[in-house]
Amino acid sequence: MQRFILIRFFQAILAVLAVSIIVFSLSHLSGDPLTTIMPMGDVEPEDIDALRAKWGLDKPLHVQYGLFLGNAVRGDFGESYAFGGQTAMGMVLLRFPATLQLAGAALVLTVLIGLPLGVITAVRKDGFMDYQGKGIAFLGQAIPNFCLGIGLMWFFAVWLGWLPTSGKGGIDHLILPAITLALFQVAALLRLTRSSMLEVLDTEFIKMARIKGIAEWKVIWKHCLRNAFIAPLTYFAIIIGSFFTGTVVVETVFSWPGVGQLAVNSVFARDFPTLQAVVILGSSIYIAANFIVDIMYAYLDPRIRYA
Amino acid sequence: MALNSIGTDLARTPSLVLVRLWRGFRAARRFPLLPSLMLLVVLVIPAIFAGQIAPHDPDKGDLNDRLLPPAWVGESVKYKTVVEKVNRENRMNEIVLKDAERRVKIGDANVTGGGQSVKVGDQIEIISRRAGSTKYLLGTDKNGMDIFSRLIYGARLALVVSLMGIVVSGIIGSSLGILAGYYGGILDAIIMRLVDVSLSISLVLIALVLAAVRGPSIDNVLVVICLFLWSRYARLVRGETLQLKSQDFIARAQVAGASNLRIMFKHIFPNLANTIIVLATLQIGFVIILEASLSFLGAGVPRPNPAWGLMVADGRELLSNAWWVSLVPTVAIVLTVLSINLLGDWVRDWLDPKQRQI
Repeated sequence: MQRFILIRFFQAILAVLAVSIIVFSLSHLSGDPLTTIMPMGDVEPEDIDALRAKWGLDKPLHVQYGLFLGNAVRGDFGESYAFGGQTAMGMVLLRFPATLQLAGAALVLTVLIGLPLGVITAVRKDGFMDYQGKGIAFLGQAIPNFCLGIGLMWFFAVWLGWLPTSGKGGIDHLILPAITLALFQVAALLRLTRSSMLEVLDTEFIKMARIKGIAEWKVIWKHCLRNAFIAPLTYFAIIIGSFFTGTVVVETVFSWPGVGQLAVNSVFARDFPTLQAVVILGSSIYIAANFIVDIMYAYLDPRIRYA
Repeated sequence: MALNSIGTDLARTPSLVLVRLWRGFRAARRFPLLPSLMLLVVLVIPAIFAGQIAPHDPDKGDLNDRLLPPAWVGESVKYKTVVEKVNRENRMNEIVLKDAERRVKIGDANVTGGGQSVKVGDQIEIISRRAGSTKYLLGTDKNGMDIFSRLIYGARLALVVSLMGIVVSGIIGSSLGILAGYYGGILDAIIMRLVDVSLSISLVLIALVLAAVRGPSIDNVLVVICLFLWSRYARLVRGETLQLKSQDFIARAQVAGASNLRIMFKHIFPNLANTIIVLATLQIGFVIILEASLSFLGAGVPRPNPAWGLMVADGRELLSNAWWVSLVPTVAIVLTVLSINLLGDWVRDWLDPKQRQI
């Protein structure tokens, strides 16, 4: 087990390093970032040189990468190009609570909808609810989340006028973005819970529990779900990881002032330090989530360790 | 005996035709007819015959026809009011209205009774939205471009980008997968670590970095698709190659003196073709979603190309006044992806019933 964790950990670190190399080399692909962000005309060459020295852009590439990596590990991605005086990390941290709120709401929705639906569709296999569940699972995985967001925004905010269209405010502002972010994962969790429940429902100990005369709801929600919960439980890490990248699109649709919107805005402002901070942090969360899933699987199901 | 006679009785009744039709229908249902037709109508036919079908140039708009609704939508009158002042000084040509902050131009198409002869005290109506016309079947966007024509050219863009991405990443991924599976050892280890890395990186974030560096372009979308999709092929193909390698016919080919290259191309690859095709069809929907999402974020296809994702993004701010600008392409994307996924599931069951996992 220790060896397995060590190998996976090494892989995760490798992935984070790969992301940092991709991000760093891409950022320097365009040549000198200073020429693209400087205002045209009235800039003294000495000022440019001073700025270049200040941001370390005058050193060779591998030295710059070393500096970049060293600083990144300490959470220092430099000063934002677009917002003078703000550090890139500070910008991200400023926006982080909004994203956390959105992702948290989506997670709650996913669990409240996906898990019970997965159980019900498994218990009533081939019944009415099962067909509805199949429909949700299929639609949820086929509709791109920005399309769903636009559709929901038009129907509930413009057509019915029940909810605000976009921006951040009270709890009503949170509903549509959270649903949009959650639907794909609701579908995934539903499928996972359903197949896992079907497996457990077929076992001897469930038959035994029924023969003993335990109430049916207790058999299903206690005996069965507890055993069927392993696969969905490990999947939670994937859900959380995907929420942090899914927010990029959803926050853009609903003008939600979170980290994802910051990333898109910094693309247009060519604000590389901020973008680097978002991408490396976002990717690290995503990779860490994958790592945790692997470990949890291996812990819960020993067969995987030797595969 | 009794059952038999009932059966033959039924067989003689006219309902047999219906029963037969029903059975035929049930059998045919295995092939997703409706989704396939929908796919033809929404994606394939427009993509191939874009030049013939599209009634307008997708990149040229008529600024007089901005934000026209689809053909079936009528005009809506917002309010009636009285002209308070007519301002013709300094070529202003403005009408100042009573109880309204808005000023309108004389002769504005959105005002009835506001022509050149307008006087103070005239009753006029402000039309918040003109009626749709058959000239623009699905309406126009804020530049007066025909949405129907843009949708048609957008289908070509979506199809070309996704197919190119699938084919290139399929070739790269399958080749690396076969190499890794066939040779094993250090090559296998390196390729599989790269696969792991590629699978654990978030596509959208890397695409954003690429867009910031090079500006949005179709090349970026293709690079992102290929960089990250190859690993899915590589992993699957490697696994299958490992299984095939241990079979007798490969050993016999080696004994017969076939070169490694020949074995990989002539003996292993044909056995993998089905798997690769299945994975490719299942990926098309994903790639179309990816392209549309990147374009929506402004990190994919650049303006003024008629990419569906861009069209949705352009209409987002206008949703409350002009819903059609973004809802029409949204519907197109959803219909396309739904039908491609249904068709992909069918191809999987048809070619490769064993592999329902992928």
